[in-house]
This record gives sequence, structure tokens and C-alpha cells, in this order.
Amino acid sequence: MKVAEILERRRGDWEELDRWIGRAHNARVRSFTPDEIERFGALYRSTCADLALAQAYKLPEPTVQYLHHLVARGHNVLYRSDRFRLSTWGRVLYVDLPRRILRDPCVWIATALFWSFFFGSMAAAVVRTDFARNLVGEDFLAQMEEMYAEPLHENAKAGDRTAMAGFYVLNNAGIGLRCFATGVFLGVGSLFETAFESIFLGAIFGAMAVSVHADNFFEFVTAHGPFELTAICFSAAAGLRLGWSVVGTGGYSRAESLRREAPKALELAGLAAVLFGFAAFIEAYVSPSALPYSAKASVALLSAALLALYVFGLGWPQPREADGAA
Amino acid sequence: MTSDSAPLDTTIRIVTPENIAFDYELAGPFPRLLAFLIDLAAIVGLCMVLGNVYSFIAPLVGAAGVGFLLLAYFFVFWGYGGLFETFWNGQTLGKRALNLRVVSTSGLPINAAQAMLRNILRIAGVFFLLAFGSVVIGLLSIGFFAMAATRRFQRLGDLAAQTMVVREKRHRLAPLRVASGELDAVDQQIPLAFEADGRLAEALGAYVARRGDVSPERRVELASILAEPYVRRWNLPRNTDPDLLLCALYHRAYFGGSHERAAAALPQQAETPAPEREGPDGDNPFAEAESPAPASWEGVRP
Repeated sequence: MKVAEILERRRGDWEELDRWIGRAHNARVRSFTPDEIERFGALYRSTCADLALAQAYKLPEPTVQYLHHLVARGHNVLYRSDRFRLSTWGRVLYVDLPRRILRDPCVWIATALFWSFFFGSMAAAVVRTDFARNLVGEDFLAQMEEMYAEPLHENAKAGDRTAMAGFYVLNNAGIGLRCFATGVFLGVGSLFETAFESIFLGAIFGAMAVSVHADNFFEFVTAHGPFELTAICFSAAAGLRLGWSVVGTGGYSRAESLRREAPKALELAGLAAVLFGFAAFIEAYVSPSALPYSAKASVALLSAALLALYVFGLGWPQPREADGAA
Repeated sequence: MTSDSAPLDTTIRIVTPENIAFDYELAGPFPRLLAFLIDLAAIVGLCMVLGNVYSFIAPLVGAAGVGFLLLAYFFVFWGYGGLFETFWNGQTLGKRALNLRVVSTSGLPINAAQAMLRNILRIAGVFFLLAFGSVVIGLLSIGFFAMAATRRFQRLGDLAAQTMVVREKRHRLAPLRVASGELDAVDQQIPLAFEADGRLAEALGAYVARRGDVSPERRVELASILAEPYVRRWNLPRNTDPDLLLCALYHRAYFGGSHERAAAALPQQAETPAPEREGPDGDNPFAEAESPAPASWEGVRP
């Protein structure tokens, strides 16, 4: 019997496999019985053999192409990865990530950059009042003055606070992710974004510090400060890590180096996004509330302690596992 | 197709654990741009729908609803591509519409981290270029340069996440046999001893595969190039249809002639992958020309 004839008889199996693939694309593995999965495997393997046969005997091109695509689609279904598993993400969050943060020079560089620009800008704004005025604009400063003119009290309804929480997530976490993502261009985007943010924030802090409403302003920013400022530094660090991987390749090709570092940077950026989320809720519900200042300061201390526990407690270099990655 | 060197086209060869090599067809910049525009429209549309739903139920939920609306905007904007590609196995709405799919460069399906990474980095490009000018020009330029510079049409996000975008065409399997009542009549006139060698069989296969795409006149014109010498050698009638003759030769090469078919009324083949064990024995169509199996299995070997 000729080979084409054998393959011709296999057509029914191919069509069956095609139907299985169509079904499996939109269904979970659990919705298949063991028998069905076994059948799928058998069909897939025999179709692989058919493809090899069709190629070896140089069957007409459309048939070979059809088999190529059938096998490709089957392969895509059969080797579907664990797309999302909570336990691996837990390990990343509580074990891998904190250990990496302390050893990552990018974190230190980003933190130093942020704080030096922040305090520099703040000092400039305190010493020269027109610094902040020129930098952030007359109107914006006037708006800030007006916002903190009255003591913070329970004038906002709960609904407004939820609205503010949503806004803070959209805005701040968005800035953080952007800061991370633009780092891919050799880190330039992250550096620019971080410098801009820190100078801008510093100028506002400086201007408000010398304003008559300084007390209200600092009462407002205390509670969510630790989470938010740390998150900014982490986002910048993630972007720098991404950008630096293209420059300092450590012997790999640039693309390969980027490929190796990108998942680590993404994890750090994800952590920053989570911290931005925490900060947003504190900023919306605690900061503007009528709670006494001591309560807001306790929230700040608690969040700072949690961060310290995370970075230093979980991340303290393990002498035996030190791999010199830094 | 099965030549030694990599073909000069946009296919990527993947070797599976079953030791089978198959080809993925890469998607170029234009279908991807089109898919992206569809996704962009979907994002904008989704945000508009959310906004409308909110304004509809606003009296019920009060101002708190704005917070959830903004939160939803955040997830739509940053998560649209990542979430779709995670849970739709590498497809977004636009990619599904254009039959594209994101896969790892190893040929395996992508996971959540890869999907998020490549989509967040796309937004990076958009933001970065917003600083310099129009989004469209920016997308076209950086996306194009990155895609043109890499072998698999990868942009930066693809490079970082180790992914590529492939076309997923649904090939319809045309019947291998040519259905024609006059075929047997022509077949009877071909000498019984005639066996098509490998190159001829390949050419016949290619001709039969494509003859449906051309007009009957052109078919005759093309077929007569190959058919003419055989008509003369076998002293066939002058008015033999060259197209029919090639089809008959094709059937002879791949299925055996009408006489053989009458003789071999074999039972239906079972599901098991028996065929490969039959191997290149005397039965195969090109036995005298070459031993095809070892020569053309090179892509299959590890």
C-alpha cells in the first residue's frame, strides 16, 4: 500500500484531534476525564508520526502544512504551562524577592538618587521661596496652600474616600509601573522619572514646610509616607535593573542578559505596585481622617517596621546561600 | 521545506519532545499593528462601557463607585493584555480576530509572568514616545526597528519575556485524491511498469496541490510542459488532456494505479501510529530513486 493511502485513512483521526484542540483551548484540564486525556495524547502522538511520514515521503505541500499546523496547535495545548500558581508567587514574594533586594545595587542607587534629589530640592525650596514657585507653578502651590489651610477633619464622606483610593491607585501605581517599564531604554526613563518625581515632591515639601499650614500638611503625609516613598524607590530600582541588564551583560549577549534580568525586575515592580496599593488606601482612609496625630504616626511607624522586617528580616543575607549575585 | 538550510522565510522550526519538528509561521509587524489597534479600540470601548455602567448605577452606589471605576480603569489599562494573554493562552481580542498567538521562543505556551512583562513593556514604548511626539509614529518606528533587527520579529517586550507572535492559520485539508471520472481511462494508457521517481513525484504533488488556483487554460499550459514528453514517449493520443495525464501520474505515484487499487482492498487502518513502521520498503513510491527516509528526516533528529 502506498504511503499516501495510509495517511488518507488517518484523516478521521486528524479531524478528531482538531476538534479536541478546539475544545481544549477554551476549557480547563479538569473538565476532561482521564480517558479523554489519554485519547488526546494518543491522537497527538500519532499525528506527530504522520507529520514525520508526510515530510519524509514529500507529500503535497498543503497536506504537510496542514499537519504542521495541527501538530503546532496540539503542542500548544498539550504543553500548556501552569500559567498562574499561587504557591510559586508566594515563594517569590516571601523568599526570593527580599533576599534579592538587599543585595541589589540598583535598589541602593535608586534610593540614594531619590532621597538626595528630594532633600536637595526641599532645601532649595526652603531657602529660596521662588524655587518652588518656578518649579511647580504659582497655581499649583496656591492650590496646595488652600487644601491644607484648614485642619484635617471629618468633612469627607466615606464615598469620597473610596473615590480617592481609586484615584491614588490609578495615578501612583501607574506612575510606578511606568517608571519601571521606561527603564528598559537603558534605565534612562526610570532615572528621569525618579529625578523628576523627587525634585517635584521635594519642592512641594520645602514650600509647605515654610508655609503657615505646615502642620496640616505634615499630618497628612505622615501615615502613607513609608509605603509610598519606598514604592517609588523600588519602581525606580526595577527600571534600573532592566536598563542595566542591557549595559552590564556579565558575559551574556545583550538580549540574553535582558531576558535573564527582566523577570526579576518585574517581580520587584510588582512588589512596588502592591506597596502603592497599600499606600493608596492609607492615603485615602487614614491620612485625611480625624484620627489624632499620634494614631497616624503609629500607622507610619508600623508600616515602616513591616517594611524593615520584610527587607532586613526576610532578606538578611544567608551565609550559606550567598551566591555573590550582587 | 525539508532542505538542510533554514528556509529564507518567516517560519521558526520547533523540535518537540516527541522528536518531531514542526514550523511556526511568524507574524510580521502589520498584522500585529492591526491586532494592536483592535485591542486599543477594545480598551477604549471597555472603559466607556464601564463609565456608562457607572453613570447608570451612580445613584445607587454614591460617590464610592468612582473609586471602583478608577480601580477598574487601572486594571483595564495595565492588565488588559497581560490578563487576556494569560487566560486565553497567548491571545487578546485583536490577536484572536487576526489568528495570532503569543508563544515562548521555545514554542511552549506562555505563562502569566511573560504575559504581564511583554504587555507592561509595550506601554513603556508608548509613554516613552509620548514625550517626543505622536504615538503612531513612535509605535511604528521603535516597534519596526526592534522587529526588523530580530530574527523572530520581536519587540523589546518580546525579547525580555522570551516570546514571539505566530500566525495560527486553520488550514483546510483538501482531499489528496483528484476526483475525476476520466482519470481511470487515462491511467490505463500509462505503462504498468512506470514508476515515478522522487523528483517527479514531488513535482506532481506540487502541481496537483496548486492546480485549483489557476484557470483551466493555464492548467493545460502548465501541465503540457511536463506532459508533452510522456505523450510522445508512450504514443498517447494527441488530444490527451495534459492536466488529466499529470493527475493520473500523481495518483500512480502516491496511491498506485487503478489496477493496484482494485487488487488491494485492505481493511480500515486502526488508530495506532502504525504507518511509520512500514518504513521505506519496496512499496514506497520512490524506492528506486533514493532511499527517502534517512535523507529527509534530518529535521527530526535531535
